[in-house]
Amino acid sequence: MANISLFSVACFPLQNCYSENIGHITGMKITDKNVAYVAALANLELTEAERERMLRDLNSVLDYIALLNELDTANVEPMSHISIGSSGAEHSPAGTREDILEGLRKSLPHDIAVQNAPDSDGTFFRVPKVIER
Amino acid sequence: MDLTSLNIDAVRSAVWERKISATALASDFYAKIELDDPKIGAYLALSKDRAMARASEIDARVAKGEDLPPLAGVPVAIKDVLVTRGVPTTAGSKVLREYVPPYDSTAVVRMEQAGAVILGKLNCDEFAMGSSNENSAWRPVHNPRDRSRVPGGSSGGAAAAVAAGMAVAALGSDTGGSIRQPASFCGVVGLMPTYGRVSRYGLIAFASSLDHVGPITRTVKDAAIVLQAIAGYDPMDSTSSDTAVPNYVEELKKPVHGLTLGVPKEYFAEGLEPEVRKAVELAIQKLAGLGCEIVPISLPHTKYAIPTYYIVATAEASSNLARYDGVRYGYRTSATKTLSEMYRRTRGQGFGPEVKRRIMLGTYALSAGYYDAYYLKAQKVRRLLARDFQEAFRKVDAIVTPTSPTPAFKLGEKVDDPLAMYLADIYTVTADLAGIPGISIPCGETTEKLPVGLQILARHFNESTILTVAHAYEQASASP
Repeated sequence: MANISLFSVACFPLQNCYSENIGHITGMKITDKNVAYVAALANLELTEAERERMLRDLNSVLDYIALLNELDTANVEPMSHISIGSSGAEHSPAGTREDILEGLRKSLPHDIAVQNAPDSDGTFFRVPKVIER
Repeated sequence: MDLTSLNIDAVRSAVWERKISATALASDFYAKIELDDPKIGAYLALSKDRAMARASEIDARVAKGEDLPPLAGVPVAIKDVLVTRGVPTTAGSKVLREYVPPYDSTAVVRMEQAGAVILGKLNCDEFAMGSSNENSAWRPVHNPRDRSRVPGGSSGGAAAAVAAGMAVAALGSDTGGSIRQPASFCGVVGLMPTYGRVSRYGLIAFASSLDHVGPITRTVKDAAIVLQAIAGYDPMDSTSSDTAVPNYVEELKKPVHGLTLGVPKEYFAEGLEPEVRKAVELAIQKLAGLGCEIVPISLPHTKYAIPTYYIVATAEASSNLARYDGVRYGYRTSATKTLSEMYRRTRGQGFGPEVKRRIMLGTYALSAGYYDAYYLKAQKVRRLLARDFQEAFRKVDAIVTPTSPTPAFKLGEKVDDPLAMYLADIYTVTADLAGIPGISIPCGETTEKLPVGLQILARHFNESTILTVAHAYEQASASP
């Protein structure tokens, strides 16, 4: 992907803070470097003013989120989906279906599929250069 | 015809009895929208051609004496997070400026199949992220009951349109309270169905394990009628449930006498405004007077709901919003040299401050070294919250609480404090996290004439119980 250069620039500052101990993590403040790194992960360009504000807002929300550390959840199964059957039992949604070409609905016609594109030649989506040198 | 007090049955019979045609009624609503909406800001787009075509079909059926479907000729509007073919859909975001969807969401299709006339698209917080509608990239919405105040969010345009008589009913979406809280602020009815009860096909995704589609209406019966139209399995949404759909309108007639209602002490603690408490306590007394048994209960993990929600919801959002990259649809920044620069600048310019905040928080919570501490932890606490409800529903048929700790607040009051804004959802996020259904119905006013909402929650797929209790309360308060 094109973003490889970003990853190397960011030099994984978060890795240094990694700890199995949740207390260490939540006791710590996010730094401007962390904000820049996460923004790069999220493909989000932030202005300097936005980064400053983000630092303040994220730290205030994360301080509040630290409330969860009061709870011992060592023996609690994580809840990864919440679909419940009529019996009240949890179940995986839907299950499987036949994998048929245009099984559930027709694919969009080509011209319709590209009509909302900011830049298209009518056949393909056009984008700026992918390889960065 | 007084548009502000119309309900679904009144429209349907007026159209059937030819007191008014569906096309004339739609025109009346458009005239009202043009007159009143500049002061409210509920609509982002009008779908006049589509509405008139639908209304003409209804009028043709009337002329032929054909049976009319349940929502025949009823002017409704759709929150701008549900895609509508040929009608601009932005989710309140500049990143989807000028996006015209090539398909319809299932809920919209089902509304039209039931005879509804879709007037247009309703303002909301950007990607449904907000509790005041002030995060709309286009304009804020003013509460029709007091225009200096917010309508709530994120379905603020939907609640305001219904409250102001600019639509008889609306479809909204609820991820942390976005149907119920604005319904409460605007003095209307807002129903969040069980997770999976209504298809999300065509709902612009915010947080997939929390997103729900549901009605905002003026009466409980109307909420039942709309739910009837949109509920049920949809092969296009693999999270939709094939659990049988009951006849919700018939269920309204069931007695509430003998039902047990739980009152969780955690929802009446610090932070609840005294006037809201008073109105809700009076409503609970009224339900006791109707023969419901009122039982104090505890949902001990309630205070952990907001932090849990803001990890789960933002993590899922950071993933769902990765698709807005300026390639296939929506906004793209001009003149960038490389693809990665184009992605970053498009997203930086296209998203508003709250959406960026949530993408950042969610990306952080999912990033290497932090996943266990935040996302996994939140998923575990989510189970504890769900268990609280399971325990409670062993003892009670439904739970009654305030919908929001405060009535509608002033525009601008909380915009600079994200945490204060998040706390506006403190009584509503729990049901989203547990996947259970909930409703907000009006239960009186403060001394400043601001509406207060009563929330009723029940077991998974027990919308009937909720609607029955809500209907009984509504009828009892209409005749004092």
